[in-house]
Amino acid sequence: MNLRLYFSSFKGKLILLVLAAILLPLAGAGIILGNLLQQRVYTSFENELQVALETLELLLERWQEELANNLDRLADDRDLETRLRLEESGPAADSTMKEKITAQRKILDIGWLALFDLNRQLKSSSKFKSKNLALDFSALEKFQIGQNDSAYFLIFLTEVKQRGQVLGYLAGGLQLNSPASMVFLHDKKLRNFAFWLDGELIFTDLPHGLAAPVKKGMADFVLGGKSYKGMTRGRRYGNRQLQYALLVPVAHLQRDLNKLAGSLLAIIGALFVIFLILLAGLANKMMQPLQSLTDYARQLAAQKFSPRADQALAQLAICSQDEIGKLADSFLQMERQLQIYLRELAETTRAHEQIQSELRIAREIQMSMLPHLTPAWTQGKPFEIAAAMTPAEQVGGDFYDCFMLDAQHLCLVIGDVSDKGLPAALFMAMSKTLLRAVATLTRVAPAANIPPHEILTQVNRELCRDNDLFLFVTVFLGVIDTQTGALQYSCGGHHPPYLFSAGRGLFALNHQHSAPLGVKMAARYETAEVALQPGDGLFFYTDGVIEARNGGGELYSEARLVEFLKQHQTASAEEMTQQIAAETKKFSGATPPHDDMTVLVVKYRTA
Amino acid sequence: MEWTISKSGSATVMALQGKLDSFSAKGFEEALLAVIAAGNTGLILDCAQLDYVSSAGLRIFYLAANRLQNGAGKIVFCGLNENLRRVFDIVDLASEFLILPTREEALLQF
Repeated sequence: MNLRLYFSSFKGKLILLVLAAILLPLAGAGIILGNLLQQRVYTSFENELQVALETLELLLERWQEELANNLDRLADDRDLETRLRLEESGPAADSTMKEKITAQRKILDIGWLALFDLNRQLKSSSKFKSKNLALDFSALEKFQIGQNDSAYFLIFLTEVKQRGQVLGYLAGGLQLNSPASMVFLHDKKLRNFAFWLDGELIFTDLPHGLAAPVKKGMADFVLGGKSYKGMTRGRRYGNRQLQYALLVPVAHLQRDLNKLAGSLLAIIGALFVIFLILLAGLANKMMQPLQSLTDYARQLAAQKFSPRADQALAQLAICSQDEIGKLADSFLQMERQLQIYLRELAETTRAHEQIQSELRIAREIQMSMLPHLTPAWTQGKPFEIAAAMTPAEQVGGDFYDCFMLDAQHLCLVIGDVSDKGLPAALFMAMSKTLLRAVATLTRVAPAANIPPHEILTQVNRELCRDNDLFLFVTVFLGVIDTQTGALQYSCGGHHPPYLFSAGRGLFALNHQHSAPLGVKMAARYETAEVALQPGDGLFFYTDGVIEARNGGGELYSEARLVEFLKQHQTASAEEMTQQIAAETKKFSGATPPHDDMTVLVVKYRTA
Repeated sequence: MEWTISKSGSATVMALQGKLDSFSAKGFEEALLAVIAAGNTGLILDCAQLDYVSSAGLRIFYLAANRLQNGAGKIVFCGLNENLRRVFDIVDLASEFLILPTREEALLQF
């Protein structure tokens, strides 16, 4: 497991938090406990020392008695000395033996020494009439009072007198359970001159602390660079004070202490591990609902938010009173809201799609209302004609129309309903139908068409009725006598078409300003006339063409249109229609058209 | 498109700014009709800062004129730029409304 990942999870953080909360006081408690432990170890050591000292005290008493009883016997024992002398002079004595004997003799110079075993049996003793007290202490080392590991130690016991004269002092051995002890050797004058310490003999002046009056209780000593703890006692012989001490190196104590602390730490560690496992288990259990929430959310998304009716989550929301329970409740509420929202969205989408589909149909209807200018239709007629209507939206308010009023007269209409979109499209349908109906059905007399301004006037009145929204339509309507080339036209608020002619150049048709159709019941329209020559052409357009915009908001403008017409007037009607569409599209670039765009091009030729 | 409305004597002046097209038409229509509905019969539409009017905008002018004439009021236009003037001419708004060069001249009408 990635530990870093684990502790960055909520679960891991929880565990860390609990651990911190527990470990900090625990560390404090550990320090206090450690101190208590140390104190306790020292106290028990002190008690042991006390007992040992008391035992020693007791032993000393006894030895003193025993020795006093045996002193006379010891004094008379010449055997040892005799034996030593024999060994010294004996032929078998090698150098080592000789050395040993010399050493023993030198030691015997100290005075009376006695060695006892634990059972307080006198093992060996020696007496010596001292002449000088110059001592060789290295010899004393070899004397090995108590071998390295047999814990015999020298203890001064008592002064030894012979014939009323102090020869020296007797020491006794004692085996103690303590790992180390020390004793002191005293000369005849009861000066300390050496001490035995932890299996090591050190010759020195006694440490100050020991030379001082007897301390009570435990004391710290530093001897030869090592630390000791121990107790000193004093014992009075005549008018002299003898000191002795039991010392234990601190290292030994520390070893005990460490052993104790080690086992304590092991117990604490084991408990800690158990605690940690329990804690991890608890955290797992606590986080389990959160995990199921996460799973729930993931599955909800995976199933595209379809209703899940998650039983576990519902259970959690009902049963659990904690924050996670509330969260689960919120999740369930969210799911319900989500479903309502999704249902509404589906309905909206359906409605939107329906509108879109209806708009598509409306567009088809609108487009089919515009005449299909097939080559078959112009076949044999003295003109060519092309047109295109491009709504800015699905449907638009622009329209064009061309139809024969009779065999001779071609009626051309272009119109632009104010605004765009569906309302404009409805108004466009009405306008276009009315215009054609009035133009074709209302005849003053057979073969006598009504003049264009009459058509506009009648349609205007019809459109003005109940036009509360004041939608209007600009219309340009012209009738060409294909026999003569005479064009009669009337304009209702529309841009007049351009006439391009090889002989007369390019110009917009003159017209009387008049209101668009649909806004002014009393509007007056007039008919004007111009004669077309064979080869002349007419370019009808709606304002969507000249008001096409580019990215900078600039209009295509009438000036550009004029320039276009100058350059393309020799093209066919169909080509012109396509080229102006391409030209305005190029001009607009990515800017979407903001108005419907319609062009109608007619080229007149002789029949 | 933006506009500001101020009173000057008995006239209410609406100063138009920007482009009056299909997008801005609805908001402007509501604002203009609200001014008329509030009983202001003398209206000056200052078009000095108006760059462009689409047919959707022209429709609003016809609508406003109709509403005002029912209440015997009138609209005076002023400050039309060349393009606007041309558009107004084409749809013959000049015969419908009084169109004057400056706001000062327009104010003299009230």
